[in-house]
Amino acid sequence: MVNFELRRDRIVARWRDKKTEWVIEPRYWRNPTIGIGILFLLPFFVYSYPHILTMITTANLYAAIAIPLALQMLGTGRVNFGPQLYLGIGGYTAALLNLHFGWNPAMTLLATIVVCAGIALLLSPTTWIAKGLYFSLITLILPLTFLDVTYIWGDIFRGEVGLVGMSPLLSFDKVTWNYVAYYYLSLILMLLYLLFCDRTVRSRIGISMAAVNENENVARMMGIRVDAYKVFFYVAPSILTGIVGWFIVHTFRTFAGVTYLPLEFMTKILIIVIVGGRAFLYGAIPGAYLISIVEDSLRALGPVNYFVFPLVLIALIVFLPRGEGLWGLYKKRRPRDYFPKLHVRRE
Amino acid sequence: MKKMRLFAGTILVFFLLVTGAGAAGPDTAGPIKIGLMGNMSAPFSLSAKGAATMAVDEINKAGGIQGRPVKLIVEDTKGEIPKCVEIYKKLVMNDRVLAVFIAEKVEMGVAGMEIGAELFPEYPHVFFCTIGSGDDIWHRVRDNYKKYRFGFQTYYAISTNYLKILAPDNIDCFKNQIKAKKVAIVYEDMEWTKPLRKGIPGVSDSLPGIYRAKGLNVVYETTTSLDQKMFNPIFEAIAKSGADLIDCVVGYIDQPAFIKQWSQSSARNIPVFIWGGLAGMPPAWKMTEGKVTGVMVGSSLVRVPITPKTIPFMDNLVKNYKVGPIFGSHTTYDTLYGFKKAIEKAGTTGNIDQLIKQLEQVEEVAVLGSIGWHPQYHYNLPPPKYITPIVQWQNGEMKVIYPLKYKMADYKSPQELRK
Repeated sequence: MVNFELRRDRIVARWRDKKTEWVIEPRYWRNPTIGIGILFLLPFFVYSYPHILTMITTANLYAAIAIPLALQMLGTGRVNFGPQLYLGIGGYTAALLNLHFGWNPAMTLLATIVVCAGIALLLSPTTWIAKGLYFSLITLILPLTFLDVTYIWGDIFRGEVGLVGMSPLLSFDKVTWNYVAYYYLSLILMLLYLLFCDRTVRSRIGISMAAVNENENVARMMGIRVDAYKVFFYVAPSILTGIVGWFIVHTFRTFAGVTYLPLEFMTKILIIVIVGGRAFLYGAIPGAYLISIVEDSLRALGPVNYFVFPLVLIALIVFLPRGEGLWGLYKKRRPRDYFPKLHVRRE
Repeated sequence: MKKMRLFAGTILVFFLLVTGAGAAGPDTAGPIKIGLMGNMSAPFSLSAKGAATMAVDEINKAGGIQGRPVKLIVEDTKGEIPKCVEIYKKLVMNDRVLAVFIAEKVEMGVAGMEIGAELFPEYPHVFFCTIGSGDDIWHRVRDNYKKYRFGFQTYYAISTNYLKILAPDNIDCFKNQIKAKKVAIVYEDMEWTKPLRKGIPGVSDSLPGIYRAKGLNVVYETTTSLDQKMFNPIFEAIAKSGADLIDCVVGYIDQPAFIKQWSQSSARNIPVFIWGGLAGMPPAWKMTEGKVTGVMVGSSLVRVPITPKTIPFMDNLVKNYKVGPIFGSHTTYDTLYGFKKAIEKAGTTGNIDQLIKQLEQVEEVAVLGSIGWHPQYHYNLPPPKYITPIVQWQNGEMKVIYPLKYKMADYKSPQELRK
C-alpha cells in the first residue's frame, strides 16, 4: 500500500521502506518550467526563419555535448579537452552502418551506444593513470589522431569530404516541418540529458561524485570506490556525446571529421561549459544559446567578427558574476544551493 | 484584459509569421539575388568573394541581367557544416536567392548540395560549387540527375579529366620540355588524389599506369599526409631512386617547407613539378626566400593573356577589391558570367528547368579560356577549354613553359637557374 504525505514544500510517497518525493514548492520548479516552456514555444516565433531554427537546433546540440562533458569533468575531477572524439566515433559509426549496411536510425543508435561504450571502457583507465594536465593532453590528442585516421583510411571515412546521404530521422512533405521537428527532437534530447545528469548529481552516486570532485584522496579515505566512479563518469557521458554524433548524422545527413574533430570545435564546447559557469550542468544551456546567438549576430560585422567574437567571450568569462558564468547570475539569488563545480587542480 | 490583449497580439503575430512562410518559385521581377557563402577567414573564400563582388559590379554597371540589377548576399560559414546548412536555408528560404555559390572546400559543397536537394522541389534555385575539387558533386548529378540537377561544379578538373587530359599533357611536357624519362611521384593523402593513385575502374588506369604506358618509367611513389613537415627522407629516397623528375600531386601540403627542404636535399637538382597550390601564387617567392627557383607548377595566376579578360581581371581584383587572385577567384568570377549568359538565353528566371537547360549548353569567354558545363554531369568544361598553364619560377618570376601556345620562356634546369 502506497502512502502519500503532503508536506509544506513536497509530496512524499512511501511504499514499504522506499520513499519518493516530489517538490511542489514553486520556487524549486517555477524557473525551470518557464525556461523549458520558452524553449518549447520558441519555434512558433521563428517558424518563418529556418536558419534561426537551425541555429537554435545547433545550440541544443552544443548543449547536449556540453551537459555530459560537465558531468564528466565533475565526476572524474579532470578536464577533458577532447569530448568531440566520441562525437566523431558516434557519428562515423551511425553513418557507415547506415550507408554501407542500410541499417535504419534505430539500429544505428544501438550500434553507436555499443561502440562508444566499448571504446570509452577501453580508454577509461586513463582517468586512473593520468592526472591534471596529463589527462587533458591525452584527451586533446585523441580526436586529432582520429582525424588523421579519417584521412589515412580515406576509403572508409572519406577524408576531407566526409560521409553524405545518410537516411533522415524524419521526412515530412514540407521542409519547414522537418526543421521544426528536428528542433523539437534536439530539444528533447538535450532535456533528457539534463534530466539524466540532474538525477545523477542529486543521487547517492552524485554525492560520491561531489566528494571525488572536491578531493579525490579524502573521498578514497572515506571508502568511496573512486576508480569505479571515474569509469562510470567517463563512459556514460562519452555514450551521450556519441548519441549527439548519431543525431547529427541523421539530421544534417552529412558528417565530416574535419568539421567536428579539430581544436576549433572543442574550443567552442569548452567555452560553452565555462561561460555557462564552471561546469554547472544547467549553465550549459544558456551558455550554448548565448554562444550561438552571439556568433551568429557578430557574423554581420564581416571579417571583424573573427577578433570581436573571442573578445566578447573573454569579456563574458571575466565579467560574469564571481567568475561563475551565466549560472553565477542565477546563483546570486540562491546562494545556499550546493552544486559541484569544476576545480582547477595542479595534480 | 491587458493579458487577453497581449495573448491575442501574440497569436496574431504568430499567424502572420506562419502565413508568410510559404514556398514560392523564383522571383521574375526586381533584383536577381545571388548568395555567396564561404569561410571568410580563409584566403581562397575571401578572394572568391572579391571576384564575385567584382563580377556583380561589372554586370550591374553594364545594365544588369535583362535590365534587372544583380544583388550579391555574402555569408560566412566559418568552415563549419552546421553553419553551412543554416546559411544555405537562410539564403534560399528567406533571402529567396536564385543561385547559391559555395566558394569553399568540398565538404561544404557536398553538405550544401544535400540541403539544396531537400529544398529544391519547394524552393527552386541553382547551386554552384566554385572551389570544392574532386568528384563528389558531379557524381551526384550523374547518379541521380532528377534530384541533383540544380547543382553545378566549377573547379578546374575532375579526376577523370586529370587522368585523361592533364596526365597526357604532363607527359608531353615532361618528355619534350624537361627531357625526363624516370619519374618519382609524391601524392598528398586527400580524396582528390585517390583516383590518381588507384585509377578509376572501367574508366582509366592510375597515373603511374598512364605514365608507364606512355614510356615514362615510374621509379618511386609515396603518399604524404597534410600535416607532414619533414620531407627530407622523401627527397633522399628520391635521389637514390635515380629519378630525373619529381611529380608532386599535391595542392594543400605545407609547400614552402616542402620546397625549402627540396632545395637543400640531395634531390635539389632533380626538377620538381607541383600540380597546384601555393607554389603557383606570387607570394611563393618571398615565402620560400627564393628557394622556389626552378620549381614548375600548374598556375592560373601567371600574367599571360589567355583571353582578353585575363589581365584586366587580375589587375582590377588587386587594385579595386584588395585581394589577390588565388584559386577559386577565377572560377567564381567566370561562373557568374556563365550564369548571366544562361539567364539571358533562357529569357526568364521564372522557369528553373529552362535555366538549367541553358546552363548545360552555355559557353562564355572566361578568364582562363571559356566557361561552360557538361550537359549531363555538370562539371565545367575541361582543358583545352579551361586552361591551367604550367609555369616555372625563373629569376623571381613565373614564366609559362607549357602549353606551347602561351609559352613565355624555355624550361631551364634548377641547377642552371641557381647560378
